[in-house]
Formats: sequence, structure tokens, C-alpha cells
Amino acid sequence: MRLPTEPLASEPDAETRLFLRVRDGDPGAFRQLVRRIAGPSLALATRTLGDVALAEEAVQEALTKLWREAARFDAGRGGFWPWWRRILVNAALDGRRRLRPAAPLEAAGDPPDPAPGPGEQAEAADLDRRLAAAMARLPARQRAALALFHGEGLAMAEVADALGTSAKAVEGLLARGRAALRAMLDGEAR
Amino acid sequence: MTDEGRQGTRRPVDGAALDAALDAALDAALARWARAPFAAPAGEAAAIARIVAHGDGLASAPSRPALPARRRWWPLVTGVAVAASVALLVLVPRPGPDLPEDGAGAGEASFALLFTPVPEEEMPL
Repeated sequence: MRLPTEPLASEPDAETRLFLRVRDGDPGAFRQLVRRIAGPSLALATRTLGDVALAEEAVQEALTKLWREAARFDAGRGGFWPWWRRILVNAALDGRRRLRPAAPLEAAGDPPDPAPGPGEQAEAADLDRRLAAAMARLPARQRAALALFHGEGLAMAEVADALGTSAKAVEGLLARGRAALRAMLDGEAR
Repeated sequence: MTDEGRQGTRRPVDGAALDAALDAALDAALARWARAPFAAPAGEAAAIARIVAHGDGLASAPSRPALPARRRWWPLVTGVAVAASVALLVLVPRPGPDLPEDGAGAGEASFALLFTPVPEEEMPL
């Protein structure tokens, strides 16, 4: 599941509308919002940290901050998602968590596209397994950049906003992450 | 043209094509990694249930915890401290070396500075 990436249009998205009610102190709106964002947020945090338990802890911490700081939300400066992504990624990259070694995530089950033949599917599944193992050896910040860029389909500037850095720095994070992955995968192949 | 020659001219093209193919494969794998389910469904569902319960707990608390007050005075205090440090450095006279103003005794002073015998040199002296 992916976090929505549409920029805030003239009509705010459902989560932004809910969060505006949360900002005004509506606990029911917060309950609804949590139900909507729990899954995608856990997915993003897990990809960043490589561990579901740590990711769950990060999401809970981020939710606490979201609830406490709702009054500071300014809809004029962007919708709910960029605000939430910043809080979530910050919580996930918190020093206590990001320094713990990541375990490789379970490789995805079947490749999503049923069109390739069995040979290609097996090859893709093998690459996925090796990629998951290589991912676990990347720094958490590079994993977060890769997850936001490839998984959420965000633009460089949006990834930079979530990571609290510049687009140029994100470019570097992605390039270094890709280069490290290529080196690890090539090294394994030899 | 020999086989070697043909290989020699073809190799860079093949290398580039292989590189592009590997890049494309990595892109596809990254897209799958970033979008595929990441844990056993049961584990994921349990984690989501705990997150939702945490959210419900926050919403059910009698009152939202107060926001920490913004420290609007903080930049002012920092600015004043920096200005005071600079003023101290600039305005307070620092003690200089104790040399006579007319230069008398400067020769001895510089000789003493230049020639300070070490114990081995002291022996023959």
C-alpha cells in the first residue's frame, strides 16, 4: 500500500480534512485518521528500518507526536501527507532505532506482473530475495530515500521534504544507495 | 576483420547495454521491494491492530498533552550572549609582554630567548 502523493489541490484530500478536525480537538476524527494511515505508515517505516517491531514502535511514537502537535498544523503550507511523512520518517530515523542492525525483509511473494514466463518470474524472485538481503546492509537514511522515491513515487523535492534535507542531498542518497546495491548484487553474482 | 577486432569494437556497446539492462532490472526490483507486502499478513495485521489501539488510547485520554511552549525568547538571548562575548573581546585590553618602552635590555631578552642551553651544552660551559 502506498501513501498518496497527490499535491494538495484546491479541495483538500480526505486525510487533510480529517486532520483539520483533529487540529480542532475532535478525538473521533483522530481515531478515523489512524485507521486510514496505520497500514501505509507501517509499510514505509518497515522498509526504512528493516524490522516490523521497530517500525511499529516508530509509528506509535509518530502518532503521539501527531496528536500532540496537531494544533501547529497549517493547511496553507501543504496537506496532511507531507506533514505526516516528515514526522514519521523523523521518528523512524531516530538515532536509537536507525543504529540497530536491520534484518532482511521477507522477499515479496509472487511478482505483481503475471505476464512474464516462469523462468523470468523465478529470476525476478531470486533478484528480489538478494535485493532484500542487500537492502538490510544499507544505511537507514538511504533505505528511507529509496522507499520514498520508488515506493511512494515521490519527486526529489518531496523526498527531500520528508527527510528534512535538500533535493541535491536526496540525489546523492539515491545514487549512493543504488551504487551500493549494484556492487553487492554484482559481488554476489561473481 | 578478425574476431578479436570485432569483439574489441563491440565490447563497449555490449557493456553499456548490459549496464542499462542491469539498471533496468534493479529499478524493477526496487519498485517491487518498495511496493510488495513486507511481512506475513498475520504479523502485519497484528502490528496494525496495536497501532490503532495506541491511537484510540491517545484519543481517549482526558486531555491532549500540552504543547511545549515555543521558546520565542531563545534567539534574543543567544544574540545578546554573542554580542556580549564580542564586546568583551574587543573592548577589554589584553596584557602584552613586559618590555621596556625604550628598548633597553631588549638584546639580553632576545639572547635569552634564542640561547637556552640544554644540559648537554651546559657541561662544557
